[in-house]
Amino acid sequence: MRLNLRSVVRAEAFVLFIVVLLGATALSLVSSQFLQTFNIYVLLYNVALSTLVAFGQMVVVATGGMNISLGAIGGLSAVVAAMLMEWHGWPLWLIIPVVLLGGTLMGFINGFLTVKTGISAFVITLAMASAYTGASMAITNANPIYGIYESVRSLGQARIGVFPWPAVATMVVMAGLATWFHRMTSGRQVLALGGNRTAAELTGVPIGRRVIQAHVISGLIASIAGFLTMARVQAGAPTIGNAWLLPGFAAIVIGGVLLEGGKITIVGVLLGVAILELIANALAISHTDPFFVTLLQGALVLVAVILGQARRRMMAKGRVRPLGALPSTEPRAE
Amino acid sequence: MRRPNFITIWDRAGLAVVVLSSWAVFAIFAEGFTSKFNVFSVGRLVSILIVVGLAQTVVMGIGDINLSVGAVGGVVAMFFGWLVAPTQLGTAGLASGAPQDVTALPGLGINWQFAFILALLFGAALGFINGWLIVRSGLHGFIVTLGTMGVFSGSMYIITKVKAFRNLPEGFLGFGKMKFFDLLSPLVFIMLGVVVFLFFFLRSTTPGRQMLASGANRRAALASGINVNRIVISTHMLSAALAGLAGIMLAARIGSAIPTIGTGGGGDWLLPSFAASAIGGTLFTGGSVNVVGTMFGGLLLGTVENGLNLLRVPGFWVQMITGLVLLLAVILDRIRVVAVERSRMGAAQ
Repeated sequence: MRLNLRSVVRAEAFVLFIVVLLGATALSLVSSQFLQTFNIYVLLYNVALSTLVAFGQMVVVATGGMNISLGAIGGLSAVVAAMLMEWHGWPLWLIIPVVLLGGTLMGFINGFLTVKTGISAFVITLAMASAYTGASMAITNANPIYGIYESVRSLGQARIGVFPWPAVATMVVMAGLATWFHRMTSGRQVLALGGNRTAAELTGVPIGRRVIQAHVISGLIASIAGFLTMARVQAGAPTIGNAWLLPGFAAIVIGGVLLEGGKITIVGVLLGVAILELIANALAISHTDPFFVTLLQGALVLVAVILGQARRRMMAKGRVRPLGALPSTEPRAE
Repeated sequence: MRRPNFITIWDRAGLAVVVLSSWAVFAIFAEGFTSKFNVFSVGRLVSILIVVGLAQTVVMGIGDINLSVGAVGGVVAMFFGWLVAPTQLGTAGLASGAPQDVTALPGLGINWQFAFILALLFGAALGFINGWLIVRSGLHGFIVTLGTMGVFSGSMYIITKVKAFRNLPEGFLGFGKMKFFDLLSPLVFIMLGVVVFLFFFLRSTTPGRQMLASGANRRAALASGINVNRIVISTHMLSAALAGLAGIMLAARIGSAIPTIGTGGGGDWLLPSFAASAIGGTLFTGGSVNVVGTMFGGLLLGTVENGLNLLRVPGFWVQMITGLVLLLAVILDRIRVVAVERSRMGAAQ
């Protein structure tokens, strides 16, 4: 694709980029704390972890589904990693693959059940979420496991200036997703089936296998996010991932991902996360009630989806409405 | 006349059999399960669960989902607490004898029966916001109620500063502890009233039938002159009022209005609300609800929770089992629907 100024300005992500830029500028003018090295480091760290969560959700949303169990997978991965360290003393080079494999397996269970039963991903992942959370509660007896290795602790705090080392994982995942969705057949097929399942099926896309793949990738990303969160909070707490649902969806709808499936935007999601984290950062700097974050995330979800819907309607207005089409009460996607 | 066979009978009565056998199992193995006090406390627990389940069932009837049941329950319980709590916090009469309870909030001190009605209306108003946003935006209830969930509970946390309304009026506390025949809580009768009302509302009233028609086939409902938008909004109002009722019932049970009602403490309502509905045979695709089924579904979940507690099984196992039961219920439902259709076709030949 040729990159010229007009196409950049017309891109949806451009508006988000301007918002991030304006927000950051305003914050740095208002508060002297904002541009301090440590604050920028914390901000980037938050963005890195939240981006993983949002990507984990986006992959399944691309198929037209959703993953309610994302946080539960993250929590169980963190707990299992901490358990293997404290109780079994496994070497780290063994723990990391096992944890990632565990996340992959949980994603596979989600995808397999969704495909084989034909029941919506919402119900399957809601039910599986309680199973995974139950398992992490059972392992830890609802208490955090603190005995994690020194190397993992230092990974959780490793940084160069403002750059947190764990963000490398986010960048790898981002590159991987970009390649998968834009350059590989299976990724393209996931978008195709999210956009129009019947058409995709008719053109020979193996629907079931692609849906399972998306769930597997989502589980893998969730376990990476869970492991990194554990390294950051320095404990394998079963509560890790409890609150991933709302911010994950907030970031992807702000970024411009279609909840009906078929359309993703990696840069948009990153910018969506940046907007959310800038707001959280501003609230933290100004010592505002932390519950404002929940309120604002909820409100931003509503604003983002309603604006997105309005924009789609405006674009659709130019076209001729098919005969007998009913206004605004289309049978909504499951 | 169709000859009844095993499948059609199981379709009607299977859940009741499962509930009764779970009672039998716990009566044998869990000591104290059949004691008068336990029956009383199971009755209160189950009644709240069933009303939460029904709040989800009605929305599922129109093919939608409501993620904000827990948030609405908590917000309405806190609103109710604010209305009835005394205007000045007393210093005497506290159990600990402490000079002042720093985690308690003062309220308006109005009559609790009147406040009960106001709180239900407030719940319906929150439901109106859900329904209105869904209708105006044309989006699925999932994302809208996910957003309002954050807005509702976030605002409530900010306003109350996560403090609680204790020192609720004696009349209301007495209501929560009241026993009929030394066995049944009035909450059970409230729940039964709601079940009977919804059963007849959805079976034999025009708005009830219109709700199900909109859930089954939105276009057909529109074409036959049903104001689907109004139905969607009023269903969400009904759902939120039921969630609010459950919140007030829980406040009556625990004797105070705390901010974690519906979202924390006793576990999030989201999972049990879907589990009770799905176990009862309400479909996620809309158009068909089973109010009595939700009652049995809630009965099963509450019984299992209580029985496992008596067997000293930790609480998180209950959550895990609830999830697996939900999974099993939806998968069995798939199989059941197929089996029932097949046996009907067989009988018609």
